Amino acid sequence: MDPIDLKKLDPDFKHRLARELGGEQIKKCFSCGVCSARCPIEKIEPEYNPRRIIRMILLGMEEELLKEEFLWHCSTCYTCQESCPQEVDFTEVIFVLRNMAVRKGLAPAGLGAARNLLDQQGRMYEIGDFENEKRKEMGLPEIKGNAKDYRELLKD
Amino acid sequence: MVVEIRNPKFKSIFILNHNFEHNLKVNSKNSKVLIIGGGIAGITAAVALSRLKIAVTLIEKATALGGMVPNYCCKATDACQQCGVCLLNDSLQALSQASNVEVHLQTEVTDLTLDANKFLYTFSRPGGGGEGRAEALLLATGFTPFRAEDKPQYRYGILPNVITGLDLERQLKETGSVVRPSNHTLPTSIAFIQCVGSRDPHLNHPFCSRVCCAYALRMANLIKYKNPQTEIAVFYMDIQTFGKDFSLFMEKTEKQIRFIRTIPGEIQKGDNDQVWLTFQDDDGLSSRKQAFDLAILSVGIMPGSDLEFFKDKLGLPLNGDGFLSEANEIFSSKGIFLAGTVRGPKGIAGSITQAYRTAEEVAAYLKTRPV
Repeated sequence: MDPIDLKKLDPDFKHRLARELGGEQIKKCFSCGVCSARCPIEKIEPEYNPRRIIRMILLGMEEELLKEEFLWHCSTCYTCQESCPQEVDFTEVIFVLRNMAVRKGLAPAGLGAARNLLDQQGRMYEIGDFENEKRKEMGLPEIKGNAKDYRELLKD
Repeated sequence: MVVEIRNPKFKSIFILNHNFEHNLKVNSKNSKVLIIGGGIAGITAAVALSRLKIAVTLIEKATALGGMVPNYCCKATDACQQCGVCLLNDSLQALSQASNVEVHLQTEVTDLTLDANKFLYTFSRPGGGGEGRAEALLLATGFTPFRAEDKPQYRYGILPNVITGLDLERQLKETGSVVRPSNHTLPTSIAFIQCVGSRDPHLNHPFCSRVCCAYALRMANLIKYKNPQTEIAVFYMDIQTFGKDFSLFMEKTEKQIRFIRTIPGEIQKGDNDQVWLTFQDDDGLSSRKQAFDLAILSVGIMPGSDLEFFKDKLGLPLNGDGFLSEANEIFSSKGIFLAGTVRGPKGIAGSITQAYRTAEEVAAYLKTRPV
Protein backbone atom coordinates (compact mmCIF):
# COMPACT_ATOMS: atom_id res chain seq x y z
CA MET A 1 0.00 0.00 0.00
CA ASP A 2 1.34 3.44 -0.94
CA PRO A 3 1.87 5.98 1.80
CA ILE A 4 -0.77 8.71 1.97
CA ASP A 5 0.48 12.20 1.09
CA LEU A 6 -1.10 14.46 3.67
CA LYS A 7 -0.65 17.53 1.48
CA LYS A 8 -2.94 16.01 -1.13
CA LEU A 9 -5.81 15.42 1.31
CA ASP A 10 -8.83 17.69 1.15
CA PRO A 11 -10.48 17.85 4.61
CA ASP A 12 -13.54 19.50 3.07
CA PHE A 13 -14.25 16.58 0.72
CA LYS A 14 -16.45 14.65 3.17
CA HIS A 15 -18.44 17.80 3.99
CA ARG A 16 -19.05 18.52 0.31
CA LEU A 17 -20.11 14.92 -0.23
CA ALA A 18 -22.42 15.09 2.80
CA ARG A 19 -24.18 18.11 1.27
CA GLU A 20 -25.13 16.12 -1.83
CA LEU A 21 -28.38 14.15 -2.07
CA GLY A 22 -27.66 10.64 -0.73
CA GLY A 23 -24.35 11.50 0.91
CA GLU A 24 -25.78 12.97 4.13
CA GLN A 25 -24.91 10.01 6.41
CA ILE A 26 -21.30 9.49 5.33
CA LYS A 27 -19.72 10.86 8.52
CA LYS A 28 -21.59 8.30 10.67
CA CYS A 29 -19.47 5.35 9.45
CA PHE A 30 -17.47 3.63 12.20
CA SER A 31 -15.77 1.25 9.83
CA CYS A 32 -17.32 -2.06 10.86
CA GLY A 33 -16.80 -3.43 7.36
CA VAL A 34 -20.11 -5.29 7.01
CA CYS A 35 -20.62 -3.48 3.67
CA SER A 36 -17.45 -5.05 2.30
CA ALA A 37 -18.19 -8.44 3.86
CA ARG A 38 -21.59 -8.65 2.18
CA CYS A 39 -20.70 -6.97 -1.14
CA PRO A 40 -20.98 -9.42 -4.07
CA ILE A 41 -18.75 -7.26 -6.30
CA GLU A 42 -15.93 -7.21 -3.76
CA LYS A 43 -15.79 -11.03 -3.93
CA ILE A 44 -14.96 -10.86 -7.66
CA GLU A 45 -13.12 -7.56 -7.81
CA PRO A 46 -11.20 -6.96 -4.54
CA GLU A 47 -10.17 -3.52 -5.79
CA TYR A 48 -13.75 -2.42 -5.12
CA ASN A 49 -13.94 -2.28 -1.32
CA PRO A 50 -16.75 -0.19 0.24
CA ARG A 51 -15.04 0.16 3.63
CA ARG A 52 -11.86 1.38 1.92
CA ILE A 53 -13.81 3.82 -0.27
CA ILE A 54 -15.47 5.32 2.83
CA ARG A 55 -12.08 5.67 4.55
CA MET A 56 -10.77 7.44 1.44
CA ILE A 57 -13.74 9.83 1.54
CA LEU A 58 -13.31 10.59 5.25
CA LEU A 59 -9.56 11.13 4.81
CA GLY A 60 -10.26 13.50 1.90
CA MET A 61 -8.57 11.52 -0.87
CA GLU A 62 -10.75 13.12 -3.53
CA GLU A 63 -8.16 13.19 -6.29
CA GLU A 64 -7.23 9.50 -6.00
CA LEU A 65 -10.78 8.31 -5.50
CA LEU A 66 -12.66 10.05 -8.30
CA LYS A 67 -10.29 8.85 -10.99
CA GLU A 68 -10.57 5.21 -9.88
CA GLU A 69 -12.33 2.93 -12.33
CA PHE A 70 -13.70 0.73 -9.52
CA LEU A 71 -16.28 3.40 -8.65
CA TRP A 72 -18.11 2.16 -11.74
CA HIS A 73 -18.04 -1.51 -10.73
CA CYS A 74 -20.87 -1.24 -8.16
CA SER A 75 -23.95 -3.15 -9.33
CA THR A 76 -26.24 -1.07 -7.03
CA CYS A 77 -27.73 -4.16 -5.38
CA TYR A 78 -28.16 -2.18 -2.11
CA THR A 79 -26.93 -5.06 0.10
CA CYS A 80 -24.42 -2.75 1.82
CA GLN A 81 -27.12 -0.21 2.57
CA GLU A 82 -29.40 -2.90 4.02
CA SER A 83 -26.65 -4.24 6.32
CA CYS A 84 -25.17 -0.99 7.62
CA PRO A 85 -25.64 -0.53 11.40
CA GLN A 86 -25.15 3.23 11.06
CA GLU A 87 -27.51 3.81 8.14
CA VAL A 88 -24.75 5.09 5.86
CA ASP A 89 -26.52 4.89 2.50
CA PHE A 90 -23.46 3.58 0.72
CA THR A 91 -25.13 2.79 -2.60
CA GLU A 92 -26.31 6.41 -2.69
CA VAL A 93 -22.76 7.50 -1.83
CA ILE A 94 -21.53 5.63 -4.91
CA PHE A 95 -24.01 7.63 -7.03
CA VAL A 96 -22.71 10.86 -5.48
CA LEU A 97 -19.11 9.86 -6.21
CA ARG A 98 -20.01 8.99 -9.81
CA ASN A 99 -21.74 12.35 -10.26
CA MET A 100 -18.69 14.11 -8.84
CA ALA A 101 -16.43 12.17 -11.18
CA VAL A 102 -18.59 13.09 -14.20
CA ARG A 103 -18.53 16.76 -13.24
CA LYS A 104 -14.73 16.62 -13.18
CA GLY A 105 -14.69 14.89 -16.55
CA LEU A 106 -13.34 11.69 -15.01
CA ALA A 107 -16.07 9.32 -16.23
CA PRO A 108 -14.83 6.25 -18.10
CA ALA A 109 -15.00 6.45 -21.89
CA GLY A 110 -17.66 3.75 -22.14
CA LEU A 111 -20.08 5.92 -20.19
CA GLY A 112 -19.95 8.64 -22.87
CA ALA A 113 -20.77 6.02 -25.53
CA ALA A 114 -23.72 4.82 -23.47
CA ARG A 115 -24.91 8.39 -23.08
CA ASN A 116 -24.74 8.97 -26.81
CA LEU A 117 -26.72 5.79 -27.46
CA LEU A 118 -29.44 6.96 -25.07
CA ASP A 119 -29.42 10.33 -26.78
CA GLN A 120 -29.97 8.80 -30.22
CA GLN A 121 -32.11 5.75 -29.44
CA GLY A 122 -33.82 6.51 -26.16
CA ARG A 123 -32.53 3.16 -24.85
CA MET A 124 -29.25 1.39 -24.18
CA TYR A 125 -29.62 -1.17 -26.95
CA GLU A 126 -30.59 -0.43 -30.51
CA ILE A 127 -33.93 -1.94 -31.56
CA GLY A 128 -33.61 -3.26 -35.08
CA ASP A 129 -35.61 -5.47 -37.46
CA PHE A 130 -34.35 -8.63 -35.73
CA GLU A 131 -35.72 -7.57 -32.32
CA ASN A 132 -39.02 -6.43 -33.79
CA GLU A 133 -39.48 -9.73 -35.67
CA LYS A 134 -38.91 -11.59 -32.39
CA ARG A 135 -41.44 -9.35 -30.70
CA LYS A 136 -43.97 -10.00 -33.46
CA GLU A 137 -43.55 -13.78 -32.97
CA MET A 138 -44.28 -13.29 -29.26
CA GLY A 139 -47.30 -11.15 -29.98
CA LEU A 140 -45.71 -7.91 -28.79
CA PRO A 141 -46.10 -4.58 -30.60
CA GLU A 142 -43.29 -3.09 -32.70
CA ILE A 143 -40.95 -0.55 -31.08
CA LYS A 144 -39.58 2.46 -32.86
CA GLY A 145 -36.63 4.39 -31.49
CA ASN A 146 -38.00 7.49 -29.80
CA ALA A 147 -35.33 9.48 -28.03
CA LYS A 148 -37.34 12.62 -27.40
CA ASP A 149 -38.08 12.09 -23.70
CA TYR A 150 -34.54 10.99 -22.92
CA ARG A 151 -33.10 13.94 -24.77
CA GLU A 152 -35.19 16.19 -22.53
CA LEU A 153 -33.82 14.41 -19.46
CA LEU A 154 -30.22 14.56 -20.64
CA LYS A 155 -30.34 18.20 -21.72
CA ASP A 156 -28.27 19.40 -18.77
CA MET B 1 -48.66 -21.17 51.88
CA VAL B 2 -45.18 -20.81 50.47
CA VAL B 3 -43.20 -23.98 49.88
CA GLU B 4 -39.47 -24.04 49.29
CA ILE B 5 -37.89 -26.60 47.05
CA ARG B 6 -34.13 -26.76 47.10
CA ASN B 7 -32.57 -28.12 43.97
CA PRO B 8 -29.01 -29.25 44.73
CA LYS B 9 -28.12 -29.60 41.04
CA PHE B 10 -28.68 -25.96 40.23
CA LYS B 11 -27.81 -24.70 43.71
CA SER B 12 -30.84 -22.51 43.67
CA ILE B 13 -34.13 -22.35 45.46
CA PHE B 14 -37.43 -22.43 43.68
CA ILE B 15 -40.35 -21.15 45.62
CA LEU B 16 -43.66 -22.64 44.64
CA ASN B 17 -47.03 -21.49 45.73
CA HIS B 18 -49.79 -24.02 46.22
CA ASN B 19 -52.47 -21.52 47.08
CA PHE B 20 -54.88 -22.21 44.23
CA GLU B 21 -58.18 -21.32 45.86
CA HIS B 22 -60.88 -20.02 43.61
CA ASN B 23 -61.58 -16.30 43.52
CA LEU B 24 -59.11 -15.62 46.25
CA LYS B 25 -58.86 -12.05 47.38
CA VAL B 26 -55.17 -11.33 47.50
CA ASN B 27 -54.42 -9.91 50.89
CA SER B 28 -56.74 -7.02 50.26
CA LYS B 29 -56.42 -5.70 53.80
CA ASN B 30 -52.73 -5.27 54.34
CA SER B 31 -50.90 -5.61 51.00
CA LYS B 32 -49.67 -2.19 49.99
CA VAL B 33 -47.49 -2.79 46.97
CA LEU B 34 -48.16 -4.98 43.96
CA ILE B 35 -45.01 -6.14 42.18
CA ILE B 36 -45.52 -7.67 38.77
CA GLY B 37 -42.61 -9.82 37.67
CA GLY B 38 -40.60 -12.23 39.83
CA GLY B 39 -37.22 -11.82 38.19
CA ILE B 40 -34.13 -10.46 39.89
CA ALA B 41 -35.51 -6.90 39.99
CA GLY B 42 -38.93 -7.90 41.35
CA ILE B 43 -37.46 -10.20 44.01
CA THR B 44 -34.92 -7.60 45.13
CA ALA B 45 -37.60 -4.91 45.37
CA ALA B 46 -39.89 -7.27 47.35
CA VAL B 47 -37.10 -8.04 49.83
CA ALA B 48 -36.17 -4.36 50.17
CA LEU B 49 -39.81 -3.34 50.81
CA SER B 50 -40.34 -6.13 53.31
CA ARG B 51 -37.28 -4.92 55.23
CA LEU B 52 -38.98 -1.52 55.36
CA LYS B 53 -42.03 -3.30 56.87
CA ILE B 54 -44.18 -2.75 53.80
CA ALA B 55 -46.46 -5.61 52.76
CA VAL B 56 -45.92 -6.82 49.21
CA THR B 57 -47.73 -9.06 46.75
CA LEU B 58 -45.42 -10.49 44.09
CA ILE B 59 -47.05 -11.92 40.98
CA GLU B 60 -45.09 -14.05 38.52
CA LYS B 61 -46.58 -15.75 35.48
CA ALA B 62 -43.95 -18.49 35.17
CA THR B 63 -43.81 -21.61 37.31
CA ALA B 64 -40.67 -20.51 39.18
CA LEU B 65 -39.09 -17.31 40.40
CA GLY B 66 -35.92 -15.85 38.92
CA GLY B 67 -37.05 -14.60 35.51
CA MET B 68 -34.27 -14.97 32.98
CA VAL B 69 -31.37 -15.46 35.43
CA PRO B 70 -31.92 -19.24 36.03
CA ASN B 71 -31.00 -19.71 32.35
CA TYR B 72 -27.52 -18.32 32.92
CA CYS B 73 -24.38 -20.17 33.99
CA CYS B 74 -21.81 -19.27 36.62
CA LYS B 75 -18.83 -17.97 34.68
CA ALA B 76 -16.10 -18.46 37.27
CA THR B 77 -12.78 -19.77 35.99
CA ASP B 78 -10.07 -20.17 38.66
CA ALA B 79 -11.47 -16.92 40.01
CA CYS B 80 -14.90 -15.32 40.11
CA GLN B 81 -15.61 -13.28 36.96
CA GLN B 82 -18.33 -11.29 38.72
CA CYS B 83 -21.10 -12.09 36.28
CA GLY B 84 -23.66 -11.73 39.07
CA VAL B 85 -25.68 -14.88 38.28
CA CYS B 86 -25.23 -16.29 41.81
CA LEU B 87 -26.76 -13.13 43.27
CA LEU B 88 -30.14 -14.64 42.45
CA ASN B 89 -29.54 -17.32 45.08
CA ASP B 90 -28.91 -14.65 47.72
CA SER B 91 -32.06 -12.80 46.67
CA LEU B 92 -34.18 -15.96 46.76
CA GLN B 93 -32.76 -16.85 50.17
CA ALA B 94 -33.62 -13.40 51.46
CA LEU B 95 -37.10 -13.64 49.95
CA SER B 96 -37.77 -17.00 51.57
CA GLN B 97 -37.01 -15.43 54.95
CA ALA B 98 -38.89 -12.20 54.31
CA SER B 99 -42.09 -11.51 56.13
CA ASN B 100 -45.00 -9.63 54.60
CA VAL B 101 -44.28 -10.96 51.09
CA GLU B 102 -46.89 -13.03 49.31
CA VAL B 103 -45.63 -14.83 46.21
CA HIS B 104 -48.05 -16.02 43.53
CA LEU B 105 -46.62 -18.13 40.75
CA GLN B 106 -48.33 -19.08 37.49
CA THR B 107 -50.42 -15.99 37.99
CA GLU B 108 -51.08 -13.40 35.32
CA VAL B 109 -52.57 -9.94 35.73
CA THR B 110 -55.52 -9.70 33.35
CA ASP B 111 -56.76 -6.21 34.14
CA LEU B 112 -55.31 -3.22 35.89
CA THR B 113 -56.87 0.16 36.66
CA LEU B 114 -55.73 3.17 38.61
CA ASP B 115 -58.65 4.68 40.51
CA ALA B 116 -58.23 7.44 43.11
CA ASN B 117 -54.66 6.47 44.05
CA LYS B 118 -55.61 2.80 44.31
CA PHE B 119 -54.70 0.05 41.92
CA LEU B 120 -57.43 -2.46 41.27
CA TYR B 121 -56.39 -5.60 39.46
CA THR B 122 -57.73 -8.94 38.40
CA PHE B 123 -55.59 -11.98 37.88
CA SER B 124 -55.91 -15.47 36.50
CA ARG B 125 -54.10 -18.65 37.42
CA PRO B 126 -54.56 -22.37 36.85
CA GLY B 127 -57.82 -23.33 38.53
CA GLY B 128 -59.21 -19.85 39.01
CA GLY B 129 -58.49 -16.20 39.43
CA GLY B 130 -59.43 -13.26 41.55
CA GLU B 131 -58.94 -9.62 42.21
CA GLY B 132 -56.95 -7.42 44.51
CA ARG B 133 -55.99 -3.87 45.29
CA ALA B 134 -52.74 -2.09 46.10
CA GLU B 135 -51.58 1.39 46.94
CA ALA B 136 -48.53 1.32 44.74
CA LEU B 137 -47.49 -0.64 41.67
CA LEU B 138 -43.99 -1.78 40.80
CA LEU B 139 -43.45 -3.16 37.32
CA ALA B 140 -40.50 -5.50 36.89
CA THR B 141 -41.59 -7.58 33.93
CA GLY B 142 -38.19 -7.77 32.31
CA PHE B 143 -37.21 -8.21 28.68
CA THR B 144 -37.40 -10.58 25.71
CA PRO B 145 -34.18 -11.94 24.20
CA PHE B 146 -33.62 -11.00 20.56
CA ARG B 147 -34.92 -13.61 18.10
CA ALA B 148 -31.79 -14.61 16.17
CA GLU B 149 -33.98 -15.82 13.27
CA ASP B 150 -34.62 -12.15 12.52
CA LYS B 151 -31.03 -11.85 11.25
CA PRO B 152 -31.40 -14.40 8.42
CA GLN B 153 -27.85 -13.88 7.12
CA TYR B 154 -26.54 -15.81 10.16
CA ARG B 155 -28.73 -18.91 9.44
CA TYR B 156 -29.75 -19.48 13.08
CA GLY B 157 -32.16 -22.39 13.28
CA ILE B 158 -30.93 -23.68 9.91
CA LEU B 159 -27.27 -24.50 10.59
CA PRO B 160 -26.93 -26.66 13.73
CA ASN B 161 -23.63 -25.11 14.80
CA VAL B 162 -24.95 -21.57 14.91
CA ILE B 163 -26.28 -20.96 18.43
CA THR B 164 -27.13 -17.90 20.49
CA GLY B 165 -25.41 -16.68 23.62
CA LEU B 166 -28.50 -17.74 25.54
CA ASP B 167 -28.25 -21.29 24.13
CA LEU B 168 -24.60 -21.35 25.24
CA GLU B 169 -25.54 -20.13 28.75
CA ARG B 170 -28.07 -22.97 29.07
CA GLN B 171 -25.60 -25.52 27.72
CA LEU B 172 -22.84 -24.44 30.10
CA LYS B 173 -25.30 -24.39 32.99
CA GLU B 174 -26.72 -27.83 32.33
CA THR B 175 -23.63 -29.75 31.16
CA GLY B 176 -20.73 -27.60 32.32
CA SER B 177 -19.06 -27.75 28.90
CA VAL B 178 -19.56 -26.51 25.38
CA VAL B 179 -20.09 -28.97 22.53
CA ARG B 180 -21.08 -28.67 18.88
CA PRO B 181 -24.81 -29.43 18.61
CA SER B 182 -24.25 -31.34 15.32
CA ASN B 183 -22.14 -34.17 16.76
CA HIS B 184 -21.57 -33.39 20.47
CA THR B 185 -17.79 -33.04 20.08
CA LEU B 186 -15.67 -30.27 21.56
CA PRO B 187 -15.23 -27.36 19.15
CA THR B 188 -11.63 -26.43 18.34
CA SER B 189 -12.53 -22.99 17.00
CA ILE B 190 -15.35 -20.71 18.11
CA ALA B 191 -16.54 -17.37 16.73
CA PHE B 192 -18.53 -14.97 18.87
CA ILE B 193 -20.52 -12.42 16.85
CA GLN B 194 -21.46 -9.35 18.89
CA CYS B 195 -24.37 -6.93 18.43
CA VAL B 196 -26.76 -9.47 16.87
CA GLY B 197 -30.04 -7.58 16.93
CA SER B 198 -28.61 -4.67 18.91
CA ARG B 199 -27.45 -1.38 17.40
CA ASP B 200 -29.37 -2.25 14.28
CA PRO B 201 -31.49 0.60 12.91
CA HIS B 202 -32.93 -1.64 10.18
CA LEU B 203 -34.62 -3.74 12.87
CA ASN B 204 -35.56 -0.57 14.78
CA HIS B 205 -33.16 -1.56 17.58
CA PRO B 206 -30.59 1.22 17.48
CA PHE B 207 -29.74 0.79 21.18
CA CYS B 208 -26.88 -1.13 22.80
CA SER B 209 -28.07 -4.08 24.93
CA ARG B 210 -25.25 -3.46 27.42
CA VAL B 211 -24.88 -7.08 28.56
CA CYS B 212 -23.73 -9.01 25.48
CA CYS B 213 -20.06 -7.98 25.58
CA ALA B 214 -19.98 -8.86 29.27
CA TYR B 215 -21.53 -12.31 28.94
CA ALA B 216 -19.75 -13.21 25.69
CA LEU B 217 -16.27 -12.31 26.96
CA ARG B 218 -16.84 -14.04 30.30
CA MET B 219 -18.04 -17.21 28.56
CA ALA B 220 -15.12 -16.98 26.12
CA ASN B 221 -12.74 -16.83 29.09
CA LEU B 222 -14.57 -19.75 30.71
CA ILE B 223 -14.33 -21.92 27.57
CA LYS B 224 -10.64 -21.01 27.21
CA TYR B 225 -10.10 -21.96 30.87
CA LYS B 226 -11.81 -25.35 30.41
CA ASN B 227 -10.19 -26.11 27.02
CA PRO B 228 -7.06 -23.98 26.52
CA GLN B 229 -6.60 -25.34 22.96
CA THR B 230 -9.85 -23.82 21.75
CA GLU B 231 -9.27 -20.90 19.41
CA ILE B 232 -11.73 -18.11 20.03
CA ALA B 233 -12.38 -15.06 17.86
CA VAL B 234 -14.72 -12.23 18.85
CA PHE B 235 -16.23 -10.10 16.08
CA TYR B 236 -17.28 -6.73 17.47
CA MET B 237 -18.04 -3.07 16.69
CA ASP B 238 -17.10 -1.57 20.06
CA ILE B 239 -16.62 -3.33 23.37
CA GLN B 240 -19.13 -2.12 25.94
CA THR B 241 -17.23 -1.52 29.17
CA PHE B 242 -18.53 -3.25 32.27
CA GLY B 243 -17.44 -3.64 35.88
CA LYS B 244 -14.96 -1.52 37.75
CA ASP B 245 -12.05 -3.83 36.86
CA PHE B 246 -12.84 -3.68 33.15
CA SER B 247 -9.36 -2.60 32.02
CA LEU B 248 -7.68 -5.45 33.92
CA PHE B 249 -10.30 -7.88 32.63
CA MET B 250 -9.70 -6.79 29.02
CA GLU B 251 -5.94 -6.95 29.39
CA LYS B 252 -6.21 -10.59 30.45
CA THR B 253 -8.87 -11.43 27.86
CA GLU B 254 -6.98 -9.89 24.94
CA LYS B 255 -4.06 -12.23 25.62
CA GLN B 256 -6.09 -15.37 24.91
CA ILE B 257 -8.84 -14.27 22.56
CA ARG B 258 -8.57 -12.80 19.08
CA PHE B 259 -10.55 -9.58 18.68
CA ILE B 260 -11.58 -8.60 15.16
CA ARG B 261 -13.26 -5.23 14.78
CA THR B 262 -15.78 -5.98 12.08
CA ILE B 263 -19.28 -7.38 11.55
CA PRO B 264 -19.35 -10.63 9.58
CA GLY B 265 -21.48 -10.44 6.46
CA GLU B 266 -22.97 -13.90 6.55
CA ILE B 267 -22.59 -17.48 7.73
CA GLN B 268 -22.57 -20.38 5.27
CA LYS B 269 -22.49 -24.14 5.64
CA GLY B 270 -19.08 -25.79 5.27
CA ASP B 271 -17.80 -29.36 5.36
CA ASN B 272 -18.27 -31.39 8.55
CA ASP B 273 -21.00 -29.01 9.66
CA GLN B 274 -18.43 -26.25 10.06
CA VAL B 275 -19.66 -22.70 9.64
CA TRP B 276 -18.02 -20.31 7.18
CA LEU B 277 -17.91 -16.68 8.18
CA THR B 278 -17.40 -13.99 5.54
CA PHE B 279 -15.78 -10.95 7.05
CA GLN B 280 -13.43 -8.08 6.39
CA ASP B 281 -10.42 -8.39 8.66
CA ASP B 282 -8.86 -5.25 10.04
CA ASP B 283 -5.68 -5.73 7.96
CA GLY B 284 -7.14 -3.55 5.18
CA LEU B 285 -7.20 -6.41 2.70
CA SER B 286 -10.34 -7.67 0.98
CA SER B 287 -12.90 -9.78 2.80
CA ARG B 288 -12.27 -13.46 3.33
CA LYS B 289 -13.94 -16.63 4.53
CA GLN B 290 -12.88 -18.56 7.58
CA ALA B 291 -14.26 -21.82 8.94
CA PHE B 292 -15.21 -22.23 12.60
CA ASP B 293 -16.56 -25.26 14.46
CA LEU B 294 -19.16 -23.18 16.26
CA ALA B 295 -20.60 -19.68 15.90
CA ILE B 296 -22.24 -17.93 18.84
CA LEU B 297 -24.58 -15.03 18.18
CA SER B 298 -24.54 -12.56 21.07
CA VAL B 299 -28.24 -11.72 21.14
CA GLY B 300 -29.34 -8.76 23.19
CA ILE B 301 -32.17 -7.36 25.26
CA MET B 302 -35.42 -6.38 23.53
CA PRO B 303 -38.50 -4.81 25.13
CA GLY B 304 -40.72 -7.33 26.93
CA SER B 305 -43.94 -8.46 25.30
CA ASP B 306 -46.01 -7.25 28.30
CA LEU B 307 -45.12 -3.59 27.89
CA GLU B 308 -47.94 -2.94 25.39
CA PHE B 309 -50.43 -4.21 28.01
CA PHE B 310 -49.25 -1.67 30.60
CA LYS B 311 -49.11 1.04 27.97
CA ASP B 312 -52.79 0.37 27.15
CA LYS B 313 -54.01 -0.07 30.73
CA LEU B 314 -52.12 2.75 32.45
CA GLY B 315 -51.13 5.04 29.58
CA LEU B 316 -47.41 4.58 30.24
CA PRO B 317 -45.20 6.07 27.52
CA LEU B 318 -42.94 3.68 25.61
CA ASN B 319 -39.76 5.37 24.43
CA GLY B 320 -38.47 5.19 20.85
CA ASP B 321 -36.75 1.88 21.59
CA GLY B 322 -39.93 0.34 23.05
CA PHE B 323 -38.90 0.45 26.74
CA LEU B 324 -40.53 2.36 29.60
CA SER B 325 -37.48 4.52 30.34
CA GLU B 326 -39.26 7.73 31.28
CA ALA B 327 -42.35 6.26 32.94
CA ASN B 328 -40.84 6.08 36.44
CA GLU B 329 -40.08 9.81 36.57
CA ILE B 330 -43.45 10.83 35.11
CA PHE B 331 -45.74 8.41 36.97
CA SER B 332 -44.06 7.95 40.36
CA SER B 333 -46.35 10.70 41.74
CA LYS B 334 -49.29 8.42 40.87
CA GLY B 335 -47.73 5.39 42.54
CA ILE B 336 -46.36 3.65 39.45
CA PHE B 337 -42.73 2.56 39.70
CA LEU B 338 -40.47 0.52 37.46
CA ALA B 339 -37.30 -1.49 38.01
CA GLY B 340 -34.99 -3.65 35.93
CA THR B 341 -34.99 -4.14 32.19
CA VAL B 342 -38.51 -2.73 31.67
CA ARG B 343 -36.70 0.61 31.82
CA GLY B 344 -34.02 -0.34 29.33
CA PRO B 345 -31.19 -2.84 28.85
CA LYS B 346 -29.12 -3.59 31.94
CA GLY B 347 -27.34 -6.46 33.64
CA ILE B 348 -28.02 -8.34 36.87
CA ALA B 349 -26.05 -5.98 39.11
CA GLY B 350 -27.69 -2.97 37.46
CA SER B 351 -31.17 -4.44 37.97
CA ILE B 352 -30.48 -5.11 41.64
CA THR B 353 -29.17 -1.59 42.25
CA GLN B 354 -32.15 -0.07 40.50
CA ALA B 355 -34.62 -2.30 42.37
CA TYR B 356 -33.22 -1.15 45.74
CA ARG B 357 -33.44 2.48 44.68
CA THR B 358 -36.98 2.06 43.35
CA ALA B 359 -38.05 0.32 46.57
CA GLU B 360 -36.84 3.39 48.48
CA GLU B 361 -38.86 5.59 46.15
CA VAL B 362 -41.96 3.42 46.73
CA ALA B 363 -41.49 3.69 50.50
CA ALA B 364 -41.13 7.47 50.27
CA TYR B 365 -44.25 7.68 48.11
CA LEU B 366 -46.33 5.60 50.56
CA LYS B 367 -45.30 7.94 53.40
CA THR B 368 -46.29 11.13 51.62
CA ARG B 369 -49.03 10.04 49.23
CA PRO B 370 -52.38 11.82 49.32
CA VAL B 371 -55.00 9.68 51.10
